[in-house]
Amino acid sequence: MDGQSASQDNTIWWICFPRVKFEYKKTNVIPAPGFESGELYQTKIPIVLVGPTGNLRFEALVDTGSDQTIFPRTDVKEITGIVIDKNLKSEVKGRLEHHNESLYFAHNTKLQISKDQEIYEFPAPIWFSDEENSPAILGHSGFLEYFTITFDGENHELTLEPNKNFPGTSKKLAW
Amino acid sequence: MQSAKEEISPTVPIEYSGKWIAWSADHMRIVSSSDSLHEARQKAFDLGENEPWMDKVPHRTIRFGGSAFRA
Repeated sequence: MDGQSASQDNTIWWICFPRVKFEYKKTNVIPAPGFESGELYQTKIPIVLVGPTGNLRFEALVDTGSDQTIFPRTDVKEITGIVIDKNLKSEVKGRLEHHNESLYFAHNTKLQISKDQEIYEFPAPIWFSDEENSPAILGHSGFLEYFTITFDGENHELTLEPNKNFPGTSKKLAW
Repeated sequence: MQSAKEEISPTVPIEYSGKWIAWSADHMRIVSSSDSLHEARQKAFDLGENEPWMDKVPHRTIRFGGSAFRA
């Protein structure tokens, strides 16, 4: 693996980006065609919304059908200190025309993914919604564009590997 | 060096259908739940879980469709 390192306290910083793997999240549902076992798998990963005064943690859906990365607005300002610009508004529609919701943008937002001793932190454009009917969504802008992702349906796991567009840092904790 | 086999988060029981839940920091236990994100998170804090992972549970019968965005 190419990279260079420098030691700092007990942390070794690597400028290289290994893969991280996450298991799909499993939920019990009423059995139905396509879900005869009553088990529903979703491509959710743990992700941290990083703010100047605090962080919020979500199990967010890696959603190739979403153009944007969308988080619920609840508690964001109070806990993270992220200021949402209510003047910068957009609109999202689902597959049904009557579903329509407003999104608001916040500047200088960052996301963090960690797994085992690997931590990725990167700036990402994020929109915020007042709707709470869906999980946090990791879409193309702000997330998918930075990674090569493999979805393994057989083993119910996804693998993330930062690509050359990845704008953040990778840190490996070692002691 | 090989790492030990990692533990997988438990399956979310059907009783949490459609709710917001708070996972413990190690993703191994559901600490609280509510219809509201804020309330689920606050309950977790009150129970001493300071770093909960907030998760929207799929509905027991209603499936999540794809989304499209228009700026």
